[in-house]
Amino acid sequence: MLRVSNLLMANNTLKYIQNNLQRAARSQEQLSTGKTIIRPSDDPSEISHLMAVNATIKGNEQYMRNIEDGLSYLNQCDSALDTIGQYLQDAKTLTIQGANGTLTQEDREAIAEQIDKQIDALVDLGNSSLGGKYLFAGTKNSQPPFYRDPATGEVYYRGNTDRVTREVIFGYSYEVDAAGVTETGSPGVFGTLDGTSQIDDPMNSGEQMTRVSGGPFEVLLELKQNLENNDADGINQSLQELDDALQEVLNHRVGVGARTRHLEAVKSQLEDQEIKLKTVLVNVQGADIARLTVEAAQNDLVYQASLIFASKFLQTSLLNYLE
Amino acid sequence: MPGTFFGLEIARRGLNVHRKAMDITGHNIANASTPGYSRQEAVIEASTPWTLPDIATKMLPGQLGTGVLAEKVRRIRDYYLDVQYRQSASYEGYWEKKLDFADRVEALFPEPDGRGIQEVMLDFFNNWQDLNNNPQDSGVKTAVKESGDELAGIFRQMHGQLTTIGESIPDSMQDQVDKVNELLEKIADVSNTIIWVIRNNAQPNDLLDQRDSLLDELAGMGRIQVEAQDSGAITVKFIGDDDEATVLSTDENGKVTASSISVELDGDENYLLIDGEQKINLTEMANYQTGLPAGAGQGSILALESSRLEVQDIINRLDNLAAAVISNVNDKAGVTFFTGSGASDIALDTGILDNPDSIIGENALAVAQLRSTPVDIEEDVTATFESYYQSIVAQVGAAVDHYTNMLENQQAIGQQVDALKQSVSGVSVDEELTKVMQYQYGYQASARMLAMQDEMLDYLINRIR
Repeated sequence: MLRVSNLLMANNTLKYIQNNLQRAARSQEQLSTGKTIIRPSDDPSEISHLMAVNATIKGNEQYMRNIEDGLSYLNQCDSALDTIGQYLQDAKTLTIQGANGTLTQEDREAIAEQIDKQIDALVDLGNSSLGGKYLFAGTKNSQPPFYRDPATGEVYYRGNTDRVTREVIFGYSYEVDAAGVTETGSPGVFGTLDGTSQIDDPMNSGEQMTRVSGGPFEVLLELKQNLENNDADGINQSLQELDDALQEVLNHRVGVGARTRHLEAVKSQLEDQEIKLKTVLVNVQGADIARLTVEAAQNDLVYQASLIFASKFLQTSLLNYLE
Repeated sequence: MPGTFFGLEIARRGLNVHRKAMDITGHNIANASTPGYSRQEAVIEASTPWTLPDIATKMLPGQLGTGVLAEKVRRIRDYYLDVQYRQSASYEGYWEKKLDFADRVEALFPEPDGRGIQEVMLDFFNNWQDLNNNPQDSGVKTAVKESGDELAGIFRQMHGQLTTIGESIPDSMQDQVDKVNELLEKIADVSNTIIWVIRNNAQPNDLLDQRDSLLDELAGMGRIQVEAQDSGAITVKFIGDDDEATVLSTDENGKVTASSISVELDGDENYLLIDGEQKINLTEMANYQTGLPAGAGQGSILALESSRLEVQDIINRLDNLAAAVISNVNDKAGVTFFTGSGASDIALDTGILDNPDSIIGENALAVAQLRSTPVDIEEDVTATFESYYQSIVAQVGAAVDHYTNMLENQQAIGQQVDALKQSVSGVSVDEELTKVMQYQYGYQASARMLAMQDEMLDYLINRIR
């Protein structure tokens, strides 16, 4: 059996009191922060996981901002396309009116004048902006993209053909605009660029602007000329082209709508994910207050017992009974 | 047949022995709280009995006792427990120092909840995302500049603080070396006195205790191997097992001399020098990257060397991360955004600092995507910035956790050994008081015997006329 010495008892008592105090400090720390992992060493195997979850939450917040931003872009495009559609519809009504064989040359010229104004209005629509950024200018969107040359009546483009995108999930960027114009392939809302015809940019010296062809501008311009020339066949031809242009605008609008729905779906998915990730955080790091409280109470009991021991029993020795 | 005053002599011996035993008990009680004290005990033996054969002895059965003698004072101590205790002290000294520095390193990492490198880095990349949303916006470019500046700043700050810790290690090491030299000198002095006392046929119990305590303390700084002889001669080997690791030796004349140790950096490696000669490659023994190093648990000097390597490793990893951030961000941003080559000197390019508009907004997405793109950070390690940094934090946390556990285990073992040591050598006041009563009665009884003898002799000498 172990012989017990007084020094051993005293040292042990000190040590036990210190241990109990340390445990109390730890419970207090966890109870008052509500967290079990306060520094990396509290759970080194979980710390990377915890930090990764925190990073994902923070990253998702940015994606949410990107999506919100993209959605407002898409909504603005949608309403611009809606208005463009209405203008083209109006132009169609005018054209049908102009195709009426009973009209005189003067009447047709008056209609041509109205069509000319429609072109101006359409240029203004093409220069729609959101928060200082021009919707149909590609990514070179700090200046109004469309310019109508007063000399020829032709419309020129100073933007670029890159699409405005927002990253909504890592590595996946979605276009949040409708292409204003395109270089080749399927035409943009306002047609394609005619690289063979360029003029000096009046706003930026030394730069060139490119003529827009194959879209509503060209159709309306031809229509205007046909009306002025009193060309009935040409007017009917323009009517057909106007329908095509209107269809093209509709196509773009459908695309914008589809992408809006997609972004909204991603958004609600991210919102779900955020809730789940925060649950993970609580599971990994959150303190079980009920359990901690019970533990703290138990610990307090043990602590008090060790203090009672120190104050009562350490004083007792044979000396108390020697006379 | 014994002489007339034989009984007086027996009573006198009884008185003497009990007085002596009482004094020793008093010494024990006085030292009940002295650390390293071993309780002492009078070796009480019956004195040589009356054996001279003559005609009269035939009449008596057996030998006639001559009383008691206490010529020696014994120190109650178990040498094997000392060996075990010192081994455990080396382990404790090692893990304590390791934990000390790991704690200091961990304190620099505000993760998981504080604003550390990960948080700042996330903000930085989020700002690039914002810039992608508004490629021409000067306000957002300024935000990118500011967060870039903060990121560079926090890298430099971490590097500076880690370097400060790293640089304090050699000072700590020098402190330990000085302490070892001081202890060696003291042990040599005490040993020389011990040898002299033993030569004079006395027992230097308290000096032996003192030497054992000094050896216990020495063991905390490096594993020691002690060979002590009954003559008081002593040989001590420090850290190494070979003869060349000898730091205390006794020559043929019985003189103990202490060597002086020092630590010297030779290239990248620290060597332990004994009397100015390179003896032990500490760096090799402390290299923890090869699994559990040979020097693990061998005292605080090796722990400091190990911590030095560890802090250096964390600084290197931080440097790798900063270098990867610099090169990748510059590459994707299309301009020199950061300058510098590592965590110590990463800074915003003055061009960006003076004119945030020179940030190319069209490249923002490429930079922002770096956040989640694995890149080459160190040889054979491809990871995202975040996960690489997370592994650094995990490494720092795991170190503290590991060393805390090791220290706690070792302390528990140390306490067990100490309890065993105390069980053998510790003073129990109750026990001593019981002995006091026993010796008191013994003394009283001897005195009574003396009084009775006195009375008897009084009759014999004075009353017979």
